[in-house]
Formats: sequence, structure tokens, C-alpha cells
Amino acid sequence: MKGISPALAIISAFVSILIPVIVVIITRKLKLVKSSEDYLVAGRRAHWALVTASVTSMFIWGSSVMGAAEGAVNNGICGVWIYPMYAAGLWVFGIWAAKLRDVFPYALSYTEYFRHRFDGKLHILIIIAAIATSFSGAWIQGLAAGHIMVGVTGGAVPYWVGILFLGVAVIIYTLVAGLWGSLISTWIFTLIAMPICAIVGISVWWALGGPGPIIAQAQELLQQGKMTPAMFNLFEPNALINYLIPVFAWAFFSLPMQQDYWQTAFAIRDPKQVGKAFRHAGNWWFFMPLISGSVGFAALVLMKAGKMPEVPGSQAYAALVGQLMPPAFGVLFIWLVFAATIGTVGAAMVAIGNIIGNDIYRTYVNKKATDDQVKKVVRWVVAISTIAVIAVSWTQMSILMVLLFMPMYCAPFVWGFIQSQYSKWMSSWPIFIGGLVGFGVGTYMFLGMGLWGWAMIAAFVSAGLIAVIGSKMSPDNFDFAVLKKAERR
Amino acid sequence: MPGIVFFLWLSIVLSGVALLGYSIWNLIVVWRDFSRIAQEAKK
Repeated sequence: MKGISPALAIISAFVSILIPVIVVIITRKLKLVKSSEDYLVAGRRAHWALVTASVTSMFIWGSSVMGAAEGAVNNGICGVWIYPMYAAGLWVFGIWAAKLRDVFPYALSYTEYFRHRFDGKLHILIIIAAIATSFSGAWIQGLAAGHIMVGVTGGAVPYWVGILFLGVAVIIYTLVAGLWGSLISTWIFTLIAMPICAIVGISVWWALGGPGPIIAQAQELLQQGKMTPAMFNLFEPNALINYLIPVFAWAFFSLPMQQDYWQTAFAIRDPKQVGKAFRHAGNWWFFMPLISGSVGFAALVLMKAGKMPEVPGSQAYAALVGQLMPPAFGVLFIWLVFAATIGTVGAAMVAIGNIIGNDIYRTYVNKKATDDQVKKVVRWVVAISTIAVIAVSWTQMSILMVLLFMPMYCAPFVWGFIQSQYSKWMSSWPIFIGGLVGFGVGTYMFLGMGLWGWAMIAAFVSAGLIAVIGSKMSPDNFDFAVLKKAERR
Repeated sequence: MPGIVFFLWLSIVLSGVALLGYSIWNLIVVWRDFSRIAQEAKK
């Protein structure tokens, strides 16, 4: 397979990790990080448009390029538009984020809401789910960073090199600058990644002669029986059930339970702009996987025609770029994926640090902890978590598979979480029991029966019903003024 | 099949315009805010 040279790929990756170094210098010069609140939620001083860019980066991940193309390779033409529907999660999340900022103005983490609103046992359960979700998100980025190096060099650079570069870059800026570092890095990376994504996608299609020749080729393959009519159906029923539903499940059941997103919502300077930040991020994000997915469909046709080597769906986009385009485009592509992955892993590491430092250490381990002690614990957690991400990403896995299972950790708690912000009668134990039951039901359906999308829905509905019915039987009478009065750190 | 060709063209053109347009807009808005923060840090 033709790809870019290993030396060029490694130099490109190395240059991309210089950006975090620049970010560290900027945050120090502007004196942005003084307290733990500065480190964890950017001192609640971030402009909403900065958060829009950062959230866009978090949502695009490495997987929106690799995973969107993989979706089209696996599902045909309908895979092109299904993946971008993840954006629906952001459009809705904007409403929820604005609500939580209103009822709990000084939150550092959404898990902290459970501590004040409910009790210790539900708080601990949510912490476990939240850490598992953020860690999975970072794990996906690690896998993407490894796959990109293999894909664009045709296998000349080993898988682990990409992961190692990713880990080094993340440790540099998250340890020093926390969420400010993450916000500024992801902002820079997004502004680099988005135009590159457009340029690479358009150039690949240009090199292929546009969609016309690819579809003409596909028609021949259809007549030869090498492709099926289902691959050309924009609303293929199997894909709608087995792909679109898991996408919506992630968008509505996993996203609202990820600290990575909440911490950026808490970071916005003007609470009234929270919804706007996420709506624009959703709009922006929608189009990136759309063009990546279309290129994935072209790769599917070329692989079926024998004009491109058969590669796993995760590597299809990178392999096509490496095969069709001059080396300069391979370099752009490395930048694109590293841009998305480095920023997002950093955000996930800060999220885990926030939860362990603020929710566990300050709440249960050392209640009289000083601000400096909390910051120190958070930094240690960030370093250890990053090393753990590198370690688990070492084993090659399907990006899409890890992504699709992510909502399972959180889907059972979403109903209780959202409704408890509106209804004072929602009580703790039904959400706790419903969460465990929902997780059991969903996991069995996902792993035991292979019903990916339905598993999430079953987990959400069964847990939600238990939470609502149980709360009606044994209602709470929560005073929301408690949240408004929660001490500002 | 003509419908799929049209769909792919639409994906390419709309994505190109949106990705480039949003990037330019965001760069301007956030850059102005950082300039303000930098001026405050100097004071």
C-alpha cells in the first residue's frame, strides 16, 4: 500500500505536540490558573464561543473521522448521515446544561449535584459511572491515534507510536493548565482540524472525480453481485435499528452523564449563553463526520472493486488518503486526528481528576483539604489516568465497538438525573435501584443478545420507570435553595 | 442512483462551507476575547 513515509509521519506527530507547549506558555503568561476552580472549571471565565470550539473538538474525537468512515464502510450510504446525528445530543444538552447552571450555580462537577441533591450511596455509584464513561472516551481517542499512524503509513509505523505521542502531549498541558489548557488547546486544534477536514475530504473527492464515477463503479459492482442493494438505501431498516438507535442512545443517554461536557458548561462566563454554546457546537460538529462518512463510502466502493486493499473500517479513511493523495495530505490528516484526540483526552483526564479530587478526596477523604492540596491530588490523578489510557489503548480494538458500549454506564441514570432538577419529589433510592437494574438489563441485552440500540433504550426506560414509580411511592421534598446556597470555592 | 450522487454532492459542499465558515467566525470572536483578557492581565 502506498502511504506517507514513516519519518514524515513521526515528524508531523511531533510538531503537533508542540501546540500544548505553546498553550502552557500562554496560560502562564495570562496568569489564568491560580485556584482549583481555575484549574477545574477555568474560573468560570471562558467565553461561550471558546467553549463552542472546545466542545466541538470533544465531540468530533478521532472517531468522527475514523468512526464515521467506518460506519459508511459497514452500513453503506445510510452510514454517511447516521453518524452526524450524534450532534442531536449537543442540541438537547444545551437545554439541560442551562438548567443545571441555573439550579446549581457553583457546581464544579455534575456528580457533585448528586451529593447535594441525594445521598452518599447514589453519589458514589454515579462517580463510578462517570469515571468509566470519561475513561472510555479517552480510550477511543487512544485507539484512533494508534490507527491513524498505521493507516497513513501503510503499516510502516507501529500502532503504539501514535498512542505514545498522544500520551506525552496530553500530560504536558493538562498537568500545568487544567481546563484552561484543555479549552485553549482544543480551540486551536479545532480551528486547525475543521478546515483540514474540509480540505482533505474535498481533495479526496476531487482526486476520485467526484461522486459520479464512484457511483458508476458501484452500479457495476451491484450488477456483479459484489455490492448489495441495501448498501445504496439511505434509510436501510437494519442500519436504522442497529446503528441509528445506538447513535441516539449515546447522544441522549451518555453525553448528559459525561463530566467532560459539564465542566465546559460550568466554565462559561455568562450562564445565559450556555445553551447557545452547545447549539452552535452541535451545528458545527454535524458537518465534520458528514464529509468523512462520504469518503468512507467511496473507500467501500474502491475496496469492493479491488482498487484499494481491504482494510478494517477503522482504517479505511486514513488508508484512502494515504493511497490517493500526495504525502502532504497524509500529514494534514495526521494533524486532523491528533488535533481531535489530544484535546479530547486532556478534557477527559481533567474530568476524572475533577471527580476524584473534588468529589472523592475533598468530600470523603480530607474534608479540610486546602485548595493547594486538592490541586495536587487532581494533578496526580490526571497523570496516572493518562498513563492508564496509554496502557489500555495498546491493544488494538474496533473504535466503533467501544463507542457504542459507552452509553451503557450512564443510560440508567439519565431519567432520574434530568427529572430530579425539575421535580422535588424525586428521591434517591429508586434512582439507585433503577440504575443497577437498568445496567443489568442493558448489559445482558448488549453483550448477551447483541441488541446494541435496544439495550440502551431498555436500560433507560426500565431504570427511569423504577426511579419515577419508586419516588412516587416514597417521595422526597427537596429544597432547591440548598443548591443555590452551596458554598462557592 | 442519481439521488445518491446528489446526496453525496450536498454532503461535500455543505460540509465544506460550514466547516470553513464556522472556523473563521470562531477565530475572530475568541481572538477578541483573549485580547481583552491579555489587556486585563497587563493592568
